[in-house]
Amino acid sequence: MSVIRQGVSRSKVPHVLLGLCAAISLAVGLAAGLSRLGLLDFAVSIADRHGAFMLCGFFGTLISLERAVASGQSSAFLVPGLSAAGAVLLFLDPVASGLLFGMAGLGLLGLTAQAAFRLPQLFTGIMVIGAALWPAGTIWWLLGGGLPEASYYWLSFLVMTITAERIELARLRMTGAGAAKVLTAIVALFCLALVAGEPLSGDFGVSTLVLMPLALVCLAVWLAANDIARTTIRKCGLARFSAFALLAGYGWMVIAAALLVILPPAQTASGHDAVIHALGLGFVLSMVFAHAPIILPAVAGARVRYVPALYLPLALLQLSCLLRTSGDLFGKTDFVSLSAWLTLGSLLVYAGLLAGTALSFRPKGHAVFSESLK
Amino acid sequence: MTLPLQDQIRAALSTVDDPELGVNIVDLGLVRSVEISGVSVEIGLCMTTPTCPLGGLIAEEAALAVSQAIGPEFAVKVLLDRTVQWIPDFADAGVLEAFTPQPSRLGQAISSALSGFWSRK
Repeated sequence: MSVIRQGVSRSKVPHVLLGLCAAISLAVGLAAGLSRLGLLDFAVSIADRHGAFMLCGFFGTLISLERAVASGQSSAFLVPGLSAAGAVLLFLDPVASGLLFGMAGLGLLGLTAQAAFRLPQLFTGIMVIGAALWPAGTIWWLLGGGLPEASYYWLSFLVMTITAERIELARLRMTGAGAAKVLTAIVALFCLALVAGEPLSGDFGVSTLVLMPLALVCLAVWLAANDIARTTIRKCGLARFSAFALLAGYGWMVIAAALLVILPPAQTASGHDAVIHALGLGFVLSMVFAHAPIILPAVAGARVRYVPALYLPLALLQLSCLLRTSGDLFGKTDFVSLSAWLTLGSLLVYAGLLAGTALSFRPKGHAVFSESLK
Repeated sequence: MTLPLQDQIRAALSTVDDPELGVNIVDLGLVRSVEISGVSVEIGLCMTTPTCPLGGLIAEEAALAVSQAIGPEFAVKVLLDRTVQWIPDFADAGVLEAFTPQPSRLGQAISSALSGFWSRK
């Protein structure tokens, strides 16, 4: 027996509002980041919360929204709602905000577990692990653990979630059971590294980090080898653009692994900055650039589309990452500052181009669509 | 000469792509049924995964493409069935082949070297 819901009257208002909250959190997070580097005055009071705005307020809200839309249940929107409320409270009361992010994280874990229960496969399993890392980092933070440690948990939440989303598509490549076993081992190694306290404290008595760099390199190689990007790079348009961004992202994952060894984050602040941004900007934001023209219409109802000009902000982002990591590596603060502005510039150009495509969108007609829910 | 309605609908559906794969929904095997009775057309779609948010959007585009192709006299309805689990076998053989990795010479060399390590000889 199925319940039919008319799609025409389906409101996109919650999507848009929640998407807007995530976007505001991104803007505030960027301002806080610039203040952290001493480049902007007005966001100094929240400069210490740059990571929380970016990783929880923006990405946490966006990923929960994505999962809520996929689940098709209206109650699921409570999860991105909690996260968006957490982002707002981050201005006033970080503890209350942490509680809300924690609840949103548990909610996301529930939504993901529900999907994994319906489709028990390797990729849904990895998605569940990723979703668990968000509340794990948040609880660590709430219990008085440092924001840097929590940030690695949050970043790992994104790395695992993105990995899961990519291998969902890799199913088409018919990779064998061997590849799946290898990936399981890599994810286990990565989680072990994280639980052991890497990259900030755990070193098992040796002076260089081993587990996390190894896990990251293996993960990047596995993804580059199995991702459909290697097929879609030969296509055209959006599929090709995405493939470029994806493969660049895997490259940054390898660079992050190298930086973990060369500049251990436990020893220098610039090492922490370099690793966080190689992963956060190089890997995660490249992935965002690859997917936004696909995901935004679905989650925020924004009628954006791909245009070849998007290669420009993608190139700017890669340049910005290169400046950031080399600035950290060689102690050139000018490079780091320039990279911060360049990142902002690439995001503005990217958003501007997408907004332009949305404004020039002409609705073609009126469609009837309904959805059957169990 | 006009095509039979069923074929017109299939042709219209094959103009709708899964944006992430760049493959149309017919070849991908997302179209599970096309039922025509009188002037009402009902199309059943499935999604590749319960974690993908694109289903609703693809369904909207499919409804639009079909109603534009067969004209306003038909009532087109697209049902997104979340209970059907898509598997790669639903896709066309051609699609699967296109995505199956072509073994490169380097890859073959590495895998034969690696399998050498495991051989019992």
